[in-house]
Amino acid sequence: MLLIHELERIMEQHTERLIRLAFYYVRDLQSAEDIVQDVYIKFYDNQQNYEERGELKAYLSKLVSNRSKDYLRSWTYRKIQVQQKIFPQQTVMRRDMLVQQDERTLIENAILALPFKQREVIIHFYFEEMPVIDIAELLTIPESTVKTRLRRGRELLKLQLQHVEWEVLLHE
Amino acid sequence: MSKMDARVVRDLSESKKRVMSNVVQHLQQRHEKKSAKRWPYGVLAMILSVCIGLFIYQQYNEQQQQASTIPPVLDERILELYLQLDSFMNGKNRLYKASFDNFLYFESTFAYAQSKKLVPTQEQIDKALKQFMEEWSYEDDTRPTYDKLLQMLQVTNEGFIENFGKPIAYKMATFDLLWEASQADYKDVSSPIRTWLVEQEAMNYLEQHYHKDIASLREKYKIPEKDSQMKLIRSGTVLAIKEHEFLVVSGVLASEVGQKSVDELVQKHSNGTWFPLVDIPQTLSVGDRVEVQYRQSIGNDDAQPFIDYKDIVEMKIIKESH
Repeated sequence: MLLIHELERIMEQHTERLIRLAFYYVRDLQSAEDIVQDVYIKFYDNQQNYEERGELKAYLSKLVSNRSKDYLRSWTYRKIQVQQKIFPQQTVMRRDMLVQQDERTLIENAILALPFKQREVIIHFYFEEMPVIDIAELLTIPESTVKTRLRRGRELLKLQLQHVEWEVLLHE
Repeated sequence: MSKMDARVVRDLSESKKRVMSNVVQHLQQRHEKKSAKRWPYGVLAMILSVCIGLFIYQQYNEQQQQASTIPPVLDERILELYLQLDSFMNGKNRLYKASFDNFLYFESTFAYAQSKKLVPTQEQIDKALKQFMEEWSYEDDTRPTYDKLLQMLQVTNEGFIENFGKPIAYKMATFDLLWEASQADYKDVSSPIRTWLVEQEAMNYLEQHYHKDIASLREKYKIPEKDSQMKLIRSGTVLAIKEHEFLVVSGVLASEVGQKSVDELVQKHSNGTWFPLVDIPQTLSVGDRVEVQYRQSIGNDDAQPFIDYKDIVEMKIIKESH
C-alpha cells in the first residue's frame, strides 16, 4: 500500500511532465492542473490496478490521457467552446504578446493548433518519446493508424512552420 | 499571453506546488465528515420561482403557444447522436459517462424551463435551428464532419434536421429563455457562475421529477451511477466577496492583503479562482484562508489569463483574517 509520502516522491518526479501532457490535450493550464490532481488521487485510490512490473511513467500518462479526453467530452468544455464562439472575448494586448515568439514557441503553438487526432500522437511521439507500438497500445488503435496520424500531423506542421527549421521535420 | 499559448507551460514550478499540495491535503482530510446537505436555499428559491413563474407565464404562454411539436424530455434521439460522436472518439460503440452527463444537463435545462412555462416562439426556434446547423460548418477536431455524421446515423440531411435538428433547436431556444430569465434572478453575477447556479436548479428539478426515467436510461446504456469525478481542492486566501461569488488566490501572504490591489495579487501569484457563493460560513471575510472542494472548471476569462471559474462542493475556513 502506497503511503502519502511515497506518493509525494512520485509527484515530485512526474507532475510537471503530466501537467504539460494534459495541457497539450485540453489547451488550458488550470484544467490541466485539475486533471493531474484528479489522476493522482485516482492512482492513490486504485493502486491495485497498477501492476508493479509495468512502467509507472506510461501508466500515469495513460491516466492523464484518458482523463483529458473525458474533459474534452464534458458539458463544461463544450459549453465554454460554444460561449467563446458566441461571445468572443475582447483580448487584452499585453506587452509579452508583442514580444517576438521564439522558434520553440512557434513549434509548440503549431502543435497546439493541430486537429485532435494528429495532435495526440505527435505529443506522445515527440514529447513523451513513446515508440509507435506503445502509442498504439495506449490509444487502443492499430500501429498503422498511429503512423498515418503522425505522417499527416507532420505534413500539417510543415505547412505551418515553413520558415522554422525543426529537425524533426527536416529528417522526415 | 493567451491561455492557449505554449509559453504558459514553460515554468510549471508554481503549478506543480499547487497540485502536490492540493493532493496531499485531500488525502489527509479524507476522514472528515461530509458537509450538511447542500443547496437547501437553492431548492427553496427554485420552488418559489416556479410558483411565481407558474402564475406569470400561464397567461404569457397562451399567447405564445406554438403549433410545433414539443419534443419529449430525455429524448433518446439525442443520446443516439452523442453515441455516434463518442464512437468517433473511442472507435467503439460506447457512450462515455461524460456524454451521458452532458445529456442530462441539456435535458434538465429544458425540463426546468418547461416547468417555468417558458415557451419559445417559432422565430426563436428557427433561429436556434440555424445556429445549430451552422455549428456543423465549424471545424472541430473532436467530432466527425457533418457528412460523416450523416453516414454514421444513416440519415439524409432532411432526416437529420427533422429528427435531431428540430428537437434540439426547440430545446436550445427554450433554455435561451431560461438564461434570459435567470439574469433577473442573478443580477451582476459573472456569466459562468450564473450559468452554474441555474444548472444546479435545473438538475435538481430533473432528478426530482424524472428519477425513474434516468435510472432506466442508465441501465440501457450501461452508464455507471457512481460519480467518478473526484473532488479537487483549492487552498488560498479570499480576496473578494460578491453577492453570489468569491475569489480565492493561492500563495498570498497575510501581510499582502490590503497592501496590494486584488489585480496586483492575482498577477503576482499567477492564479485566481471565482467560486459560487453557496452554502458557505456566514462569517466568511476577505483575508480568510480557506480550502474549497470543487469538481471542475466552469469557465475562464480570456481577458485575464490567470482568472478562472470553478464549481463548488463545499468549503471551510482554515484561518480567519482577524
